[in-house]
Amino acid sequence: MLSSAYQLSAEPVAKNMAVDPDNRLVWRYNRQRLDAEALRDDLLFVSGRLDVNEGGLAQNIGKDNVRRTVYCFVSRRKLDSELALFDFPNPNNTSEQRNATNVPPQRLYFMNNEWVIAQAKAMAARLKGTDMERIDQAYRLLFQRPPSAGEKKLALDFLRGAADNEKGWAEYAQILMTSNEFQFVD
Amino acid sequence: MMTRRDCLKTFGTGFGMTAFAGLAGAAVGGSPLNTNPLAPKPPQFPASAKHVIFLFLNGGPSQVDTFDPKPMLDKFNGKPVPDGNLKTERKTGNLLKSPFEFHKYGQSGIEVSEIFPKLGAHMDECCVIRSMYTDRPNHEPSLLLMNTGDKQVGRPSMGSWLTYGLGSENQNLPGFVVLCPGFPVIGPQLWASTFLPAVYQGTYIPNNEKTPDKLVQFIRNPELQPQEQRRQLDLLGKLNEIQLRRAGEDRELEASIQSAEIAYRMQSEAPEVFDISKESEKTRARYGDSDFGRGCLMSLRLIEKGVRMVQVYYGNSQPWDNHDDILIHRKLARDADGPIAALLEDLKSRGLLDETLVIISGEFGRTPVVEVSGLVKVQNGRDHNSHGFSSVLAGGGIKGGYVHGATDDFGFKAVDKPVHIHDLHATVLHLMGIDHTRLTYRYSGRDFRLTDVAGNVVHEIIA
Repeated sequence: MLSSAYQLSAEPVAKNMAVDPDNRLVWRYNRQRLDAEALRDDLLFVSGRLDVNEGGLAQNIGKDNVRRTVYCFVSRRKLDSELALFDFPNPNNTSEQRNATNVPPQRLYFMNNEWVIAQAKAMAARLKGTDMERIDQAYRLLFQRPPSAGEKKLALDFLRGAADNEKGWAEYAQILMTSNEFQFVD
Repeated sequence: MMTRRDCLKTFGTGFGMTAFAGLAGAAVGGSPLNTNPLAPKPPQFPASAKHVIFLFLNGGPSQVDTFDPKPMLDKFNGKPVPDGNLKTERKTGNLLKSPFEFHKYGQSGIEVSEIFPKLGAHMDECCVIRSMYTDRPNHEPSLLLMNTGDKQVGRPSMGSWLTYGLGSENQNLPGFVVLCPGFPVIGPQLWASTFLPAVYQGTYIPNNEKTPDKLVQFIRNPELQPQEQRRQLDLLGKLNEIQLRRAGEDRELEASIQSAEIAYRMQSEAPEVFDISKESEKTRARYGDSDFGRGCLMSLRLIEKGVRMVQVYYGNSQPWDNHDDILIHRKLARDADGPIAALLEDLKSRGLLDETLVIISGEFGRTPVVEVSGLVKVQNGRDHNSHGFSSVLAGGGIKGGYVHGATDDFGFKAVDKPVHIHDLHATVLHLMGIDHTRLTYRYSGRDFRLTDVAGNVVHEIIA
């Protein structure tokens, strides 16, 4: 396989879809949900809190631990419940491939977990300027692209409907972090 | 014909509503999206049971003090076993009679120890397997074997296999729920899905928590009102819909959208189902206010809502592990007898006993001889026993008022119609409409199954 195969996006091409819908011949990237570690790292990154220093002692995952997940402590006896929720493999088994489930408890985590809400607030606080400018920054930060006209309108409508602007922004930031575009690699 | 994508484009209400419609469909059997791995699947052949409740008396209850009377023990009390003691974990001595009396119950006249009088009254509905046996007289391998079909860590739990094979009937709750006040020895490995997809893992609920909000993780938003959260999820649905249009049809993306809607609904259904205060005071009194009693009542409510399997552990660690003094069994049984009987009664009165298989068992039994290892304070208890023990089954197509198999004269070893854990598993799957040799999952280069390469269905215990 050539290195160009690794550079493909998940974008569908109608002609190829008709011939090889399962992507057996690797004409596109297979879309993937972010792994537990990447998901945690990404949340910390967009909230501006990720500590990217290398090395050091492993520490338990906790609300004040902002280090990359690769440096977090993994217990073989009792796996961290949040890693387990996002399919971190059982450390007592060999694992030839990660599962990537999509289950309701994961959505509850993104809807209601205080740590996630805290990252959303931190991210919202990083964005400066008018609502329009902040929406633009948010899209560039999370999705590396500007928002479309439709997406801008949805955002503005949502923010206008909120009890107050900062609360609305925290709720909006949380939804961007919960969106499929953020949680899947295309 | 309208394609799914056209359908999405046509509906002005957005994808969130389509997912909602999918869920409404799921409630009457079968999701049109067909991406939900927990959607109910038909059994391989007509099943007599649809649900399993496994009441796990962890630690190893003694058969000769509960469900396997041995008059010969009284006669030979204090004397050595004529053929010598079988090997168990620790050093054992002479025969020790049960301090409890046995009484006959019901039409069937099945004898049960005085410490289980209320369960005894249900013997005409129960099958007592007195010839159970397992492989090791140690908790860890035996707990694993009973739960996963293997002595080593790394195989999926029976509940995971069942939800993998059959899905679940309620899309607003997990399909496999494990209740334990604290953790049994080993813990989460006992309800892990290991190499099966993680969606099939048991959802652990520490039922020593009494408020429903604490029972299910992240079930309440700490800040938002329901209508604020609904607004958030409507926005999420619209953003995901825009992205789905750009990305093209994708099962994973659709599953994620569906999961968010289920999660939203779980917030209203899960606290309700775990809230036993919804039951009448009279009902709650019959279960008692012990952890196990509340767990039994929750299991009833979960089964009522269509959950596939509920496992209720008696207690933290291994309460039934009475090496020192077998009289402790009386106290333990006091908190088990009432709730088990109440559960059987309520399953019956709510029309669920016929379709719910109830299993009452520990991971192994105990020796009919006294333990004399230096580790015990008083020598009035029993060591672990893998050679023979009793399990009680009821409902779900089980033959009531029936005793299957027997141990030897002293209750040490299963000798008549011995039933291995693999055989029990094969029988449970059979009752659920699954051929245990045909429920497989390919992992690491070969097909695995709950019973691995063993197991025979015990047809005699089936009605």
